[in-house]
This record gives sequence, structure tokens and C-alpha cells, in this order.
Amino acid sequence: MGDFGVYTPFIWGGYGVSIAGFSILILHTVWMRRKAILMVDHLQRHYDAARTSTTI
Amino acid sequence: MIQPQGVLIRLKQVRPFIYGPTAIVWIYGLYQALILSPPDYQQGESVRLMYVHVPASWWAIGIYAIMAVCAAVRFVAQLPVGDLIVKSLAPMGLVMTALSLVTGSLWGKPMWGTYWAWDGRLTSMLILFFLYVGYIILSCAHDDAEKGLTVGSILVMIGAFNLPIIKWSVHWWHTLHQGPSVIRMGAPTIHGDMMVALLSMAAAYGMALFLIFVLRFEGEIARRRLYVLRGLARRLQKGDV
Repeated sequence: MGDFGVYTPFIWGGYGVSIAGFSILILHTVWMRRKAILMVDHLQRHYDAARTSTTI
Repeated sequence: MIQPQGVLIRLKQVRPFIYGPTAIVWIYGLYQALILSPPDYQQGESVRLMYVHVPASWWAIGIYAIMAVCAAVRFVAQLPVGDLIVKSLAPMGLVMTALSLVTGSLWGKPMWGTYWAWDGRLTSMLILFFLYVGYIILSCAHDDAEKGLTVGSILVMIGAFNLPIIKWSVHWWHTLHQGPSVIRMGAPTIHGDMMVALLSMAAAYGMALFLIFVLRFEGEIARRRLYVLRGLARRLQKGDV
């Protein structure tokens, strides 16, 4: 059975770094996906509008 | 022919059934790793770093192996979905390799007395890190996305030679890093309670990585559409369409 009181900063550091790594990966993934989907919607609207007019 | 949209639809169908089990496996894995598993007779409580270090290392290597297979399939079968899978996985593998190196250093200091040594296993993992960085830079650097992905995929296939070096480095060279204790010829050499914690955390990592992969894959498909739309917009401005 573990005893948190005797865990060294190295142990907490290892778990902290792992949680931080996953957090950065998740945040970057959400940001990348959202930005790409929004830009596709935006450009698709402009492209559709431009096909029926003379400018884009 | 396998289409990226078809793969995404299948993945999105599976995704809702993974959220709950992922949360449960994470809680169970952390409970095992931080509370239930016993201290090691030599390393004491520091052995708990194994439960974050080893899964990160396994997935860093596993993700690269999947990337190498997909890069090869892309060339042989000319499947665009291969490129999208490789590009989605690369940042995930990079983060896993970075976690493996950092948690390994934090484990090395109290056990070996140093954060880093130019030992076979550590150096080959550092090379893996640079292979991930190299792929990400190459795949993004080219103006023509197709060419960037092609060059990147070639690097991934060449870099696959590093995987057996990582695995066998502890046998080939006299290293500071310990030999294999789970994936080895013969029975595992770690205690059953530690094995439960280790496999639980490896499963938790894998399930979280799968969920992240589905999101990244969707993002990469959108990026590919963006690239096509930009090309169409340029042709429209020139009056070619």
C-alpha cells in the first residue's frame, strides 16, 4: 500500500510531467481540429459564393 | 479503395463507447500505480515512476511502428488515408517519446545518480525523438503538401531501422538501462501486483491515445480539404474554373 507522505519530488514530478504532456497534446489536438474545421467552412462559403459571382 | 471519410465514420461510431471505459481504466490504473502496488525491495517508492515511464516508452515505439507500416502501405497501395494516419500520429508519438525521456531522467537521477547517460537505450530513444521532429518539420515545410508528406513518409520508413535498435540496445551494449522485464523471451520478471499496475496504465495510455487520434484524424481530413479548397480558390481567381 502506498504512502503519499514518503513519495519524493521525482515521483510527483514524473506524474506531473505525464499529466502536463497529455494536457498539451489534448489542447493542441482540440485547437488544431477546431481551427481546420472552421477554416474549411469559411473557405467553402467563399468558394460557393464566388462560383456564382466574379470574385472570391 | 479505403477512403479517409469512411475510416473517420467508423472511428466516430466507436468513439462514444470508449469515453467511459477510458475514464474507468485511468482511475483504476492510477489507483494501482500510486496506492495499491508495493514498493520495490531495491528502488523503494521510486519504482512508481515505472508506471508512467514504461507505457510512454511502449506507445512511443508502437506509434512509430504503426506510422512506418502506414507509410509503407501509402507507397505500395497509393492510399491517401495512410498519409493522414501518419500525420495524425506523429505529434502523439513525439509527446510519448518526450514523456519517456523526461520521466526516465526523473527515474534515473535517484536510481543511477544522473539524469542522463549516453547509453544505448537512452540514445536510441533520443534518435526516435528526432525522427518524430524531422517528420513533423518535413511534412509541414513544403509548399506542396503532397511532396512534404511523401518526403516525410520516406523518412519514417528509413527511421524504422531504429526500432529494433531500441529493443535490442540493452542486449547489444553494456548499458546503464536495465534489461527487459516484461516483453522478453520467457516469463516476465516483475511482481504480479506491479504487472497489474503497469498493464492498467499502458491500457489507459492506449485508450486516451485512441480518442486523441480520432480527433486529430478528423482535423487532418479538414486540413486536407482546406488545401484542396485553397487550390480551387486560386484557380477560380485565375479564371481556370
